[in-house]
Amino acid sequence: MQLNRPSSRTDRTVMYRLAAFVAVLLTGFAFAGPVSGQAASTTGLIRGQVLQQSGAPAATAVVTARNEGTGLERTALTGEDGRYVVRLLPPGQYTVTTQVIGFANSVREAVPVSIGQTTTVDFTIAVQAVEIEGIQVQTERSQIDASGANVAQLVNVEQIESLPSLGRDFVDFIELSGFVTSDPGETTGGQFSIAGQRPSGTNVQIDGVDANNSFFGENRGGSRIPFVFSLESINQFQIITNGFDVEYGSYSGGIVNVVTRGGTNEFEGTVYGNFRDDAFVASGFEAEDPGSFEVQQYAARVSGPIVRDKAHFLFSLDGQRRREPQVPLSLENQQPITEELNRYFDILENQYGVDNAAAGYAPFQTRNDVLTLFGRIDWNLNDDNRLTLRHNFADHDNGNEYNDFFDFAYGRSRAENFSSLSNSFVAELQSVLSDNAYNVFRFQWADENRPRSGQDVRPTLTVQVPGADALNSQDDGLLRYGGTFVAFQNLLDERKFQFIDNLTYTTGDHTLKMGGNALITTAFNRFQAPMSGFSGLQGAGEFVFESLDDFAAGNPVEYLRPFQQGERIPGDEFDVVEWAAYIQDEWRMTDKLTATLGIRYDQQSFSNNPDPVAEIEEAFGFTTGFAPTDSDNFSPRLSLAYDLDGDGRRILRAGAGYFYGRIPLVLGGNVIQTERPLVELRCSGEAGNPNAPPSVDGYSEWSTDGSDNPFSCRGGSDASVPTPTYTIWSEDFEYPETFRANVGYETTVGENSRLSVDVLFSQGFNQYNLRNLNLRPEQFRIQGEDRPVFTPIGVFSPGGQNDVASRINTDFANVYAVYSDGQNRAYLANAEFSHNFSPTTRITTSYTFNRAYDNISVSCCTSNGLYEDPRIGATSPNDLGDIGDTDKAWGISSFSRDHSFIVSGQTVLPLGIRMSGFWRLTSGRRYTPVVDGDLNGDGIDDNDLPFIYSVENLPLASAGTADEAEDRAAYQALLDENPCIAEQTGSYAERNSCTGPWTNRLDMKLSRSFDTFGGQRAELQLDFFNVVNGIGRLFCDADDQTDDPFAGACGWGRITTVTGDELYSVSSFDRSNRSYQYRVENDFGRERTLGNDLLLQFQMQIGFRYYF
Amino acid sequence: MNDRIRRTAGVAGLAALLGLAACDASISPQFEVDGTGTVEGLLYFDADNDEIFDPSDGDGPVPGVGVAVRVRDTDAVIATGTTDDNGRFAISGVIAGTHDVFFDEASVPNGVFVCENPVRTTVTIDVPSFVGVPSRNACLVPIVDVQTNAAVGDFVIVRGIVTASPSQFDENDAFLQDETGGIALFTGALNGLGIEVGDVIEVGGTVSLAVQALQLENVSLREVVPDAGVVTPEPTTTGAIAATGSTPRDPLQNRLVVIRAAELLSPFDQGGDRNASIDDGSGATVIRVESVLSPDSGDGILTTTGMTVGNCYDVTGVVSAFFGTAQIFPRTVADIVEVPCS
Repeated sequence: MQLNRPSSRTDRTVMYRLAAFVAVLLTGFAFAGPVSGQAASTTGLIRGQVLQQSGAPAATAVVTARNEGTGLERTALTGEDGRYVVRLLPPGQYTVTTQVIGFANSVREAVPVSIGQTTTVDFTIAVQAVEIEGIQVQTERSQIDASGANVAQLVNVEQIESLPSLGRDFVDFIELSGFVTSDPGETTGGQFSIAGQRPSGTNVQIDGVDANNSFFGENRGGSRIPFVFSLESINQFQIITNGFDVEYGSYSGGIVNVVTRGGTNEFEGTVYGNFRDDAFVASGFEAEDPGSFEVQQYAARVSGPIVRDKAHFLFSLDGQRRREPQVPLSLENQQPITEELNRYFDILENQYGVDNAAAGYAPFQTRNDVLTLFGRIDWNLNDDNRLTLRHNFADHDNGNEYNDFFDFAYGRSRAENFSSLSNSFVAELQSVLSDNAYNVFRFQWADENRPRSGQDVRPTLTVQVPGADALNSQDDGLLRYGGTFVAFQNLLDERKFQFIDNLTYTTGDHTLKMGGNALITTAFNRFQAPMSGFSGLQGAGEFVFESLDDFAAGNPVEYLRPFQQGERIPGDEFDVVEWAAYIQDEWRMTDKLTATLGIRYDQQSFSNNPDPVAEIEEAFGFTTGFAPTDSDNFSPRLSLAYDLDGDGRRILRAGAGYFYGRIPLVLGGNVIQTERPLVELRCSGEAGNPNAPPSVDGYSEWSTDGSDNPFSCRGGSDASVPTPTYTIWSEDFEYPETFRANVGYETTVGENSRLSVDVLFSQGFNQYNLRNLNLRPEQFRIQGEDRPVFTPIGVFSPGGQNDVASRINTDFANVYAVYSDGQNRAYLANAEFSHNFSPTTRITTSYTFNRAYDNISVSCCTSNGLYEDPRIGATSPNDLGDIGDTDKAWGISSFSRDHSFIVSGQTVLPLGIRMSGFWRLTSGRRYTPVVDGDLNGDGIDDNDLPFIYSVENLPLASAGTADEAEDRAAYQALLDENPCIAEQTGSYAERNSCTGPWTNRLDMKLSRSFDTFGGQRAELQLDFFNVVNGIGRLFCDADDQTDDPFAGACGWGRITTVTGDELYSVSSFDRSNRSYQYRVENDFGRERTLGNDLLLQFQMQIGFRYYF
Repeated sequence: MNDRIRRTAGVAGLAALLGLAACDASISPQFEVDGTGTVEGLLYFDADNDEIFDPSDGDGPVPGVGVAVRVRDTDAVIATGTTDDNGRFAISGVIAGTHDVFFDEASVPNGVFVCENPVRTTVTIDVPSFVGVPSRNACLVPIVDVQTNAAVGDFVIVRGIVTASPSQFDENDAFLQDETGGIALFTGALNGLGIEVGDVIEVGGTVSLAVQALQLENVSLREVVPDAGVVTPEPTTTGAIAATGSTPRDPLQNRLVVIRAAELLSPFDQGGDRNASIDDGSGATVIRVESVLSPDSGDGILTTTGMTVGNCYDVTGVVSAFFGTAQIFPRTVADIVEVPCS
């Protein structure tokens, strides 16, 4: 099947895109001025002008930049105008020297260079006196990136080392940027939104190459691993919101661009360790015991020269050991059934081959350990070529992961082992080809392997034993062993090869950059979803016994098992090829104005088409059997920078361009996984019937990896095939695309301060979503609300299951087609001020406004989640609507946080105690009012938007009764408390129209260094997290909490969320009048503290570091 | 337009000024099923109730019946047709999907019923779907409908759980009960078929009032699902049972019931020495013990059942009537449990 889109649409899109781009380009020129630079993802550059004292430019001056740590030297010649650019400079501090015959050498020291940024260093040279060898000047730091219109925030090694960090994950520092949507309670480890865009639109790259887990659209290692990259190995990283350099691609949200550190000419090293356990953690926000745990983290780094000024090495490691006790069902907590439990253990041991069965139900520990190793060699092959080789290895062992609600009755047999093993090897060759030509070549091989296994995935053994106490678990009256939820032979493996080459050529006022990027990703995913119906939650199958006697006799009453038709475990393996080619011209139009104009072409394609599904084609006339290739992705970009004074101190910048993003490859996996229907086997007949449960004889000999689990009933009966669900691609699918534009101004204020203001706009198209092809058209409308219902009125019930009645074809369940109807629009502004009070005391403050709108706020993964999550207004769940269609799905994005205030800084207190801190105050996450029930009869409960009635018009179930007045008063009170609802009276509530509580978090660190010997030193560190909560506890009077748990100081620092999003529930449906009667849910808008297990309360961590 | 919309519109206007409005990628049109198929079918009289069209079994076509393909679960008609002389019809141009096929009852011959109407069929593109629809001389009805509406002589089909098997009664009676009521089956047709209490059976039969008790005669067995259900006896009183003797269509008639602590007032000296009086204090009724439970009658029944005049018993049994006198029939000795008199 060839993917052919209507040509008129494609042509129109390209034409519109170019027209829009030209319009913005012209608009930008109206206010933009000179100076610009060229970003690169792993290096920075120094540029400037060399003038004689007379003011005349000094042509052909030799400008040398020497890295003070590694001795790397790069040189450039000034042009006729005295200007120069030194490129390919790894981040670090440089000494810049000018040499002109007849003039004294001029030297600037400690010139900082950061990734992707330009540092301006101008010289005025004097005629050489006989005795003067040179003029040495401490550089005046130009703190402004004068390289163009990029909006990027830099986190350097100093901040990484000095600021408090709870998990030593470098991505935690992204919260220093207000453009990043912070979400307490969810680690930033796996996915994070930048600039109001979907998290899967974020591209993480390390050393200029891809560092993402493409399958789930998250960073490599995912959300479970504490950290995948040693903090000790990070030099700098940027959060790039608008990166116009054509080298930047594959992002519709933002880029986290990390550069690792290398060795220098000095041998140096450090060892580090920290400790935290429950004794360091305050009780929960509602006085809950934090639970028992302990975690130690450790790190080391050593670096130095292999050959001085020639080759250097760096090696680092970071690790964690965490233990958390678990107490499952055991003899100790099941005293009333001791006899039965002992018999159960005996049967398990003697008849089912479970060694030492009782021990499997004794308390055990969950592990969460990680080890990362990093090595890097930088080798200056010669004056023109520099080779960097580096490798990162991460090994995560999340063993005995256990949920005491779901797994309690199974003991340790149900704990699952999750591990993640990743390798990433990168080689980079930087070459100076000539005086005006440079080349950077990068290669990456990466592999990430994430197996998830159960302890014993033979079928679950479930025995009904009256009296077995579930103790807040779900399995009252049951003793259970083995099996799994989703860990049945589960494996995700992702391999990547990547090649990048960038060639830069300067001629006159033009610097041309051209290059290409090819990334081949091979994904393998094997995933057996648990059963959806009857028993549920069993991914390995389940034998059910009605008594211990039946268990002993090997007489199960039932056997259940999910698998894919054809007796196989659902899996998929496919290649995805992404390649890009780009070219740009950085044109110094005047001394002050630089324009960078570029264009990038991206193509993404699945190399493997899924099998066609003839049943879908015959039932719906919808083409299947293909995967999308997007071939019309041209991204023009323009970046303008105007250096108002020509000295790099006041920069006006503007930029606009298009960007193409990725999709999580799991979307393709979902398609391949339903090439064949998933089957649910159910054997429940009596002995002798074809559908009798298979024999458990020999269970003790079956493989614990599940390979012997039966695929059929004892009598050989075929599996009962439930109505199958499918996922297929739509022919109209296109990859995500974002238009961005920004204007900004940045200036130094005096010698020690810097101020920047940026305003950004973005508009995203073609964001992935799902439609359900098997949803019937509208059948009737609800009176008074004009709400369409997709189930015929004769069989519709708002409280019932409408999933079958709402289908076009009842031979199928949901038939999901992957479309790209999602759109978004974001308005952002950022003001940042930093000030150095002294070399040891500095502060950075910022305010960020981040208002994003979209018609679907999802990111990743399952088809069900992508389809059911959207909240739709007055139309179909398949119709998200267009930009601004607030009567459909358009509304404020879940990724939007209107206001963020961030302060970070450090100072030195008396006694040499260094104090650093990070404070972030962010407005709350958005939430959508909904109605309890299936009001539009689409088969999905609890996702329909309420029609907001006035108090007098609300059709109450209690109308005409004595309770009516009280209920209307309660509704009035609810409207008064929630203006977000009240202001929408007479219409459907919009998506995300209400806002949750702000979050306020202050983390601090105290450290004190002690000199030891030989220039070495030791440092003691104390980290404090959620300090405001800790202070509040000092002043909190327990009596205050009796009425209001958030009263006074007791509420300080408590991190809360809104748990009540249901405004009404349907009490009854009047079929003749086609109208609802409602009950008001008085819990709407109520705040609750976030869970105790998240450990968001005040806590401490003690650390020690030794430098040598 | 509320403030939020107005603000959005304002910024959208600015974006339009920048040329962005032109960038709005058009949303793909909403999906509609693309393609049609044909519904073919056969309406026949299923003389032997086997749901298989086989003229050699007496089955025959039902011609001239109007057929409508309707939007599922609604009255909206998509397309129509008529059965031909062979009972067959073919309706083309039907949009793919699952629809209802409805037969116009007005055009169905008298005495013939299309019991499942409409029938459901799924139409796929370019692949004809076929529905074979049996018609009968009766349709499955709830037992309460037989009790309240059916006339003597009507042929009906009922389905329920066997509460008393043919082997438990002298004259091949069996009792059947569904969620709505109970009915007696008077027939030899079920005898020897192994029908047991707890089986779910579907039978057809003619309504009669033999011995002034409501029952089905000339019963034909249509389906048996062994050991598929349990009926919990309905607690009642001897007085309530006795009151139904002259009202054979009373809801308590033919049901499985249980009476508590009822005193045996007399020996089994009535009704051929198989009936006795029993009273729980609400008024006496008759307890009848069949010969399959106690081969010996009279005092032999006392011996078999262990009953003693003047003692009290919990008795489980089905309720029936004999010429205006209500009776409770225990099925086995286990249905009679001695308890203290209250």
